[in-house]
Amino acid sequence: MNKGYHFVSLKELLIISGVLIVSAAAIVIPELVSGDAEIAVIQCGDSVITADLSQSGEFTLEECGSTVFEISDGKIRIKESVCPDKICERTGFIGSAGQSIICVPERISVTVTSGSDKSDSADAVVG
Amino acid sequence: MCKRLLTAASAVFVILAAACGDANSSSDTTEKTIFAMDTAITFKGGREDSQKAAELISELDELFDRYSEDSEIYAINHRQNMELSEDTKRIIASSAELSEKYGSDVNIFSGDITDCWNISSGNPRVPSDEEIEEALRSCNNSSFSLEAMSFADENGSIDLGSVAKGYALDRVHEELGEDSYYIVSSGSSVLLNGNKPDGERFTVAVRDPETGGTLGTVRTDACFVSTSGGYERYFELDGKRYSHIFDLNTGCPSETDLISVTVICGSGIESDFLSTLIYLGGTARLGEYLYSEEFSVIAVTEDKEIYLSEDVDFELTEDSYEIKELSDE
Repeated sequence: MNKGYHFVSLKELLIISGVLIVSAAAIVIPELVSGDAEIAVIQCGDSVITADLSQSGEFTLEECGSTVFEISDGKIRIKESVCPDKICERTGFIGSAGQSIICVPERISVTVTSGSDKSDSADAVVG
Repeated sequence: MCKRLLTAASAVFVILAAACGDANSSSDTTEKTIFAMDTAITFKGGREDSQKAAELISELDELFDRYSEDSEIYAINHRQNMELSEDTKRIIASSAELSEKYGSDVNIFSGDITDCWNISSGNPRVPSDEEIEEALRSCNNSSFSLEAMSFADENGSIDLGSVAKGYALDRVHEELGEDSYYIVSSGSSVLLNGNKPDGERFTVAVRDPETGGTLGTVRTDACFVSTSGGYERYFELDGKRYSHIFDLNTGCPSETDLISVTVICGSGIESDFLSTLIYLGGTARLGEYLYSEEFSVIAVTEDKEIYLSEDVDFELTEDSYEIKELSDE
């Protein structure tokens, strides 16, 4: 019982601090990095995923079935979709805040939002 | 020790997650997206309001979707007997009233026309002249009775495509009232209500039909805004591109010289209806609408000219377009 006041050993303390620091960094760093960069908010059904538009490349998301997304030159598009009408593919690349791609059959929406909170961005987009 | 460590570590995560969640909900407003009425609908506003609006729109979608066997419109179109909801009766009556007031070039009894082009199946085809004529007859001389809320013969069907979103926004507005701040956006129709948290007027970006970018922005107070255009939804047959908006005089996809028409007014169903009507009329008929006191218009032609009602606070941001005045030719 003489060591009873050690609720947490030094080793444990180090590990927990490590977890804390990494977690805090995971929250803070994206905010710092994003700065002025645009991000895309991808909603598939009920899942919401964000993508950094400064990272070019092609990818699929587990939540979005076999839909293929592509980011290039700060813009994103739906490159391939299994939907019948392909309206989403035809929309092409989008990259300015407020623009969006909608795929109704697959329940996917991609909306570009500004990393920095620009007060001049529109309240809604129509068309 | 391992177990204790895990517990401690999960506690840390829970605390962080909670802190993170709090940071995101620092204000009372929330953003929520649902898929209904053949599009994605986004809500901005109080949590409770957004939830209410989402539920209401989903309910209306279930009533109005003519391709769903459980909908009331399906029941009417398939001559099934069904006790109709107030909403179904209201949207039909209001649409018929608008066709009466502004012109039947937009008409909800036009379902047979879209059907004979087979668009919804994803395998569109050009129908024969006879098929088009028959569909046109069922549309322009519809046997639908507004008293009985049913068709008297077997020809004709209802398609609420040109008014459903606008009506849904009207209902959301009725339900949530005039006071609170909220924005409901369905892509082609937007409802803006209340006072923005920053005290500024609302800004609505109008999409550039050519690039999908922003053509310009409109500053408005609380209102309804709808845009119609043939650019986003179209189908291709033998290399020719067809609009999904139909000309009810020819029974064929419209061939207007306008590529986008935006209408701003105090009613969702009217802005939805009128944007389609004005789009169909082309520049030739623009003069009939541009000077109305009941609504404001932004019309974009295929030659990249923009015509505006006088009271529209519009800022052009895309240089390749030009704002023009309607000449008296």
